[in-house]
Amino acid sequence: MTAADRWVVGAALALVASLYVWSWGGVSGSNAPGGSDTAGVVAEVVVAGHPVEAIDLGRDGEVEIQGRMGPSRLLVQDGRVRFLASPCRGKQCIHSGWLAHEGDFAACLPNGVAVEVLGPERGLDAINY
Amino acid sequence: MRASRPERIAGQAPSGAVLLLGALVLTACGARPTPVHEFQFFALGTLVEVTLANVEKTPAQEARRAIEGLFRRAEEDWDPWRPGALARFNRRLAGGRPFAVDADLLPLLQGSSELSRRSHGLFDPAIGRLTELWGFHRDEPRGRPPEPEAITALMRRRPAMSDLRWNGREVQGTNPAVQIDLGAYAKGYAVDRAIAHLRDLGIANALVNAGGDLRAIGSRGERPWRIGIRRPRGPGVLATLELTEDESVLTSGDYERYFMYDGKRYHHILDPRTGYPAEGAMAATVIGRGAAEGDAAATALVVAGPTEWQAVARDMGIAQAMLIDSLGRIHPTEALRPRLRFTIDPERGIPLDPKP
Repeated sequence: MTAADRWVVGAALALVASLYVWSWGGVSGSNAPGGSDTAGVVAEVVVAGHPVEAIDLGRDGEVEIQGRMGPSRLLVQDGRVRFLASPCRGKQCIHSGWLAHEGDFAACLPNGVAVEVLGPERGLDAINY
Repeated sequence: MRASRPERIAGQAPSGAVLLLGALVLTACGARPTPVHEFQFFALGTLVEVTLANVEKTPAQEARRAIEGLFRRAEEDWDPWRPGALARFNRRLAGGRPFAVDADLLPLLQGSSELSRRSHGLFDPAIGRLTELWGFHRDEPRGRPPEPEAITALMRRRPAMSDLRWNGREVQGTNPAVQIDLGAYAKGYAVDRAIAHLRDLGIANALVNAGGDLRAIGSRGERPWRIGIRRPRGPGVLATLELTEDESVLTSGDYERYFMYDGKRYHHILDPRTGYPAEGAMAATVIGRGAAEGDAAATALVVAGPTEWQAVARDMGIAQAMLIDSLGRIHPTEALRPRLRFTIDPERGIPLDPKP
């Protein structure tokens, strides 16, 4: 085995290990969305049915999303996300409050903007409500 | 999208060691991960999400076009407040003469009539005018209750599904106060139609979720479909559940569409006996085969409230159901209880502090 071979084998092993964690890491008992071990890391923003942005919940700040009526503003803080402002009248999206756990979901239907927290590995296929 | 997986790892020209390693990896991992396709769109006033497992790209794209088309037609035809088939039906019904019902609309109307009867009239699609009076037919609720006199005047005319006189596929309206609103039925019905259509396309593993009204067939591949039931207050889910071969999960809740006025919550599940939002329950969940039936039943159970819901569920043939009463206490049926994995203490119930 040459030095190059050893390097390739080492890199391949590292890749296999990371792929294993990525593909199967979520299978073993981490599907309780209320548990702190499943706190979401990314929130997906969908506008008019199309995913437009994945927000890293590890970075505090504000994100502006253009909906069909105007901009919706999202606030990211301490690993959570919420609607801060939206051009709808009812403001139910804002009343939905903080979204922190995998599967948490809020939408401003008049503006066509939806936000859902995705876990490190999506444990739930759907939320019933 | 979310569930994309690497199907092939490209790399340098393989040496012997790498080929050996590759063979070991293949042996260790077995088959490649299940191909999962997801797509979403807005229809029927909500977000529709479809997940297909073990389906290749081309049939998945075909399914996407078909399902989106199906929901779009439903949106045009089944909304009484749009110029479509149901609006035309309501106009002719108010005319009082017998007429033949469109073939597309017929199963919805007859199915919902039957469910209305079995629900003791607590699910009643004939109260479209009441929904309109409260303003719950709009995306944005009106923000204050209607005048009590207006509610009393309408309720005195007793609009009910039993005011439709059927003769084969002909119907005659006998009460001009009746206006059919299939809001508590149509989404479930569309989900059922979507599942049937996916099966016709040869798709055996799918989950269709129309704004939380969902039905799943098959599995997600390596594991069952897994869903969460949202808490009626505060964020997150209250329990998770794994679905078997073909099941739907439907919830009606006072948190889906409501407004606050003078510190009181006025929600969209109207009691056809009183003309006011149902009292006594925050939410009801029904697990069964058909989503349309579950949709109607969940509404009926919220209206029935804590004292009557079990009798109504029994008469509707529902074995697996759960009611959350207005104090946040959780009441699952015996058949459902062992299947739920609660994320909160079910004995303590839902924390009532509404602030997130």
